[in-house]
Amino acid sequence: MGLDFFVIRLYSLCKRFGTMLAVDNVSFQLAQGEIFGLLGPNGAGKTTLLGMLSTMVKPSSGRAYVHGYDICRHEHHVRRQLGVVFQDMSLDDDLTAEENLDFHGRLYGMGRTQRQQQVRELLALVDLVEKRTYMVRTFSGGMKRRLELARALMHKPAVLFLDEPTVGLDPQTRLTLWQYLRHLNEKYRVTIILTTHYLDEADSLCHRIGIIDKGKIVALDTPRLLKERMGATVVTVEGLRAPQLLAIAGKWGTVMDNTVALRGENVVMPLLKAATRLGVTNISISKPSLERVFLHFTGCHLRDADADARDAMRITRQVYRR
Amino acid sequence: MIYALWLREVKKYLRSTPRIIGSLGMPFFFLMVLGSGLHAERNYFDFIAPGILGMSLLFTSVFSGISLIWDKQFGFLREMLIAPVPRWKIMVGKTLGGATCAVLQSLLLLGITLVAGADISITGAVAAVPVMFLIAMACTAIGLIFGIRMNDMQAFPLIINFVNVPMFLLSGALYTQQDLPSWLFVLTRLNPLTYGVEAMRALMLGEAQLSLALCILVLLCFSMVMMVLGAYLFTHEKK
Repeated sequence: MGLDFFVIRLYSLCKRFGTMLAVDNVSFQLAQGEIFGLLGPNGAGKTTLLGMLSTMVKPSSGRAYVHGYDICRHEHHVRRQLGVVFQDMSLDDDLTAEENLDFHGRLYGMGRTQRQQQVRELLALVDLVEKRTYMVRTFSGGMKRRLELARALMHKPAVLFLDEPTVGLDPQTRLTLWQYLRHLNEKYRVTIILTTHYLDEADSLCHRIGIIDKGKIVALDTPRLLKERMGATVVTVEGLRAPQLLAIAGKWGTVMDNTVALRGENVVMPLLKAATRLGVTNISISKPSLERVFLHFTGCHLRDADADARDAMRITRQVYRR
Repeated sequence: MIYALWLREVKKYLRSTPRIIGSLGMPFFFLMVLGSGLHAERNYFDFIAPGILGMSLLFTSVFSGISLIWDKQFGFLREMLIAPVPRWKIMVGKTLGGATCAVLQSLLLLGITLVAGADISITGAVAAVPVMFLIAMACTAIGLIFGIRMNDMQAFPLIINFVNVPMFLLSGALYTQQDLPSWLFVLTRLNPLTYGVEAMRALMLGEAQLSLALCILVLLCFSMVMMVLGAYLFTHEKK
């Protein structure tokens, strides 16, 4: 496997704002066709990292290559290889769906026939063919997202960046969007990097996940292996006697809140016996979740309250725009 | 790529009937009320018609700078900034687009002026279109320069009045340059719009106080300087 196989390569990439290290010595490689999830609490450096890869932010040190092009020296080549779906809507409301795509094609220097062909194909891909002559202002949030996805693919990029693509969408729309993403990943072999606040989204979509905290990549692996690293089984205990049981359980695994992740299957029975002895009645066994992995590496929940507040603001703004 | 940006501005303008009608309002009233009400000179209506066209060009152009704030607010600017297009091209495309809209708007006003009975030569009016475009280009660039630095959509029209109103009032659009107090004379001569208005008068009425060649030279230089300044500021703007 030569280096060409990797569409994205980062070597010790750093970004410093004043004395703050927003991105601290990040290195990794992504293969063509990979879906990579970048998870991290707010302010962990996700957006700065994507900003550098999309040449909008200059790195303080380190190197990175997109499709073989140096992000510092070949800005325009890099940009041509990138399709970006921003966190907030970035469509022109006063143009039709078709016109938004056409404008994008022109900006990227595509010829007329190629533009028309791509518009047709991509509108079909995201099921917006009948809506092609409608003004974007009449679209729902989900439709706008799909159109943005189509737009990002207009110029046939090698890599797609999605910054929290499903924020503010209802659960059903999210699921549909996931399907589109999987589909186009398979069909075009396009490499996808997405940041998200939703762990289920990362778990279900991504081939590999990188967890970033305070500018550093603290874990990077497939969702399955990340979870297995937490232990084979997670036992949740509730009730008055739970603290005593968890104290005992500390020997067999790692304790977090009212759960314990056990290192092996063979300690499940001793734990259950101990539970019966102490009179703990409420006990459940499950597989480790990505939430647990995240908690382990960053020491915090995905600051859900924070995310909710931001979502709410964003939704308000969308309503205001109509 | 510049064409794409130009096309977007023009398309959006042509679709916005309220904007077209709204921008006609003020110049129309100025023309009708002042042109008919002030009888200091016999042909005052004819005299101010090019002036009012200048006003329409000025206001529409400078105001179109708000489109940049609009693009910022609604995220569309990022779509443009992330494309493999140098920033100066974005600026030039937006300037040409905004200027074209302002010229179209003023041609509409010119039509009304002719219907209202102004004694303007048609060939002169046609010849004045490039002059109108130069004025519009310079003024759109001014509007965009303000747009680069501002984020507040509500403050923009208020701030921009500090440019629009003095530029209009000091342009000789409403008065002749004879027998002016010297301070007013100097300010009028320093105002680039004066040369636009005078150039249009020269072409449309066949008489003006400044030579056409001088006017066109000043307009050409001024619009180029504004365009370059806009492109420079936009290229060096953070974000």
